[in-house]
Amino acid sequence: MIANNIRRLRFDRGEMTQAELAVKVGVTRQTINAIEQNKYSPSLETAFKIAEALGVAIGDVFSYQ
Amino acid sequence: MSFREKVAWICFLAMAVVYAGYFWAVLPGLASGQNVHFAGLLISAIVILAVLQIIPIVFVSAVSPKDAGQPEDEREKLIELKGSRSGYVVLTLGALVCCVAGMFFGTEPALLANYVLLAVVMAELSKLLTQIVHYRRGS
Repeated sequence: MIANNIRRLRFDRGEMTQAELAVKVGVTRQTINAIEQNKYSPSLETAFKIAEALGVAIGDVFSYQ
Repeated sequence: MSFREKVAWICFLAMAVVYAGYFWAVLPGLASGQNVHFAGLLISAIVILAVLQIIPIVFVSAVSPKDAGQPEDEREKLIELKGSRSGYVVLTLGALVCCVAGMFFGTEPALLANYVLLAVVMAELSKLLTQIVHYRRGS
C-alpha cells in the first residue's frame, strides 16, 4: 500500500486547503481527498506534482508499506 | 460532490425514469403481439431525455462554472474507463440475448429492435452506476 503524509504537510504549510493543493497540482479537490485517504494511488506524474506543490521530495510525501 | 459526479447522477436518473416509462408503455404490447407504433414514443422519449439532462447540467454548470470548466483529471478518466468496461459487459450480454431470441425463438423484428435498445440502455445505466459507485467510494 502507498501511504502518504499529505495532510500533515498541508498543515505544516500554513494549513493549505485541499482545494488550494488541487489547483496547484491540476486535479479536483475530490482527487486530493481520495489520495489523502489512501483510496486512490496517483500516477507518478501527479505524485511528483504534489511533492513539488508541497515543496518537499517525493519520498517525503509518499512511502510504500 | 464533484461536477462530473453530479453529471453522472443527472444522466443516470433521467435515463432510468424516461426509459422505464418508454419500455413500460411499449414492451407489454409488443410481447403480446399487438401492433405498437413505438417510433413516435421513442422520439418523444429521446427529446424528453435530452431536456431532462441538459437543463439540470446547465444549471449545475452555472452554479459552479469553475468546476464545470476544469478538465478531467486522471482519477476521473479512470472512473470513466471503469464505467465503460462495465457497460461493455452488459451490452455484450444483451446482444447475446438478442441473438438467441432472434435465432431460436423467431422474435418479431419490432420486439427484437426494442430488446436491442433495452440492452443499450441497460449498458449505459450500468456505466453510469459504476461511475457513481466509484465517485462515492472515492476510488
